[in-house]
Amino acid sequence: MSKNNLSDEELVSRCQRELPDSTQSFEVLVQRYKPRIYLLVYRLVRNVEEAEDVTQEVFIKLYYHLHSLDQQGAFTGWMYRVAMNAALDALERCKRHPHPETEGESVNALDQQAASIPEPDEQVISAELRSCIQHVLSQLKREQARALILRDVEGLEYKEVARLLGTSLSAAKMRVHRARLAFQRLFMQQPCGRIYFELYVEQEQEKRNSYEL
Amino acid sequence: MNCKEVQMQLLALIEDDLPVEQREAVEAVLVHCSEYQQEYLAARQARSLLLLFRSKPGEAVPLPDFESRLMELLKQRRSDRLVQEGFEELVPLAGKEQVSSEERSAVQKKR
Repeated sequence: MSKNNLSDEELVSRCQRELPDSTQSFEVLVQRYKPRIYLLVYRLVRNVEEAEDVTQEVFIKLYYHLHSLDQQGAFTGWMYRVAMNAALDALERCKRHPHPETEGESVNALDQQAASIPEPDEQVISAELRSCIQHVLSQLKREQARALILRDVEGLEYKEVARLLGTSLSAAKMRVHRARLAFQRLFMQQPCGRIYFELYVEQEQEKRNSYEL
Repeated sequence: MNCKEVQMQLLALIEDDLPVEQREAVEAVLVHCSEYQQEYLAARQARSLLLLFRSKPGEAVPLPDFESRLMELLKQRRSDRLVQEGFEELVPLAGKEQVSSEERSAVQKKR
């Protein structure tokens, strides 16, 4: 049987027996999860080199700590937690040492962006607003940030969110809701957050007026 | 419908997950429930922001090819560790002019 057909549980179990002498099973896990982990990290840090470094760091952590994983069924939840924490750590580092390509962008970019808040399908976002959201995510409690990332950034179903967080469905929903409220409170404390919010309320009001007409 | 019932529908309303008629009914009551209205507005804006933060659907993100580099790095770290461990075992013997065969075989056994 090819190792590619083995379940995660079986691969984890083999890694626990074989590492560090043989890395074959571990390589299959890396191949299987690299795209998902890389995309998750990239969506958060938005920098190709940083995303690559963080993804590599995640797999190095998995390599060194796989032996201590008690329940093999908990592997994906654990891996996601490691990945999200590493990405959030990277966001904190970026805030302290911004990337040169985003450092010089002016606050006007936010004004231009917020002057016409795009519909979600337009998916356009200014560097300033993105940086503001990244900062807020990195400042949230980790369990709240993880819930938001899985539901609103990754777009996973609640059932999957619950599985990865290791909670019940209703607890996952509650956690996401509370995390959104916490996110919003923190966002409003940022200068860019306040500007954006005023424009958002204005636009919502205009929408409501147009429904009423 | 009262405010308590509106609260039960809040998450679905925030995520645009209600049929039109039901959404309108919930919204009509929501305007009279100030506490939940604030909560709705805040959570909905957070969600809108995070959806905006997501990448474009179908956006091509190049996948790096780092498996071979990662495996090389892990191998390198492992061999560095083995060398380090071997070195640490040899240090206590370094000052001695003569190392007995028992001491030498004890180190070899450990390795």
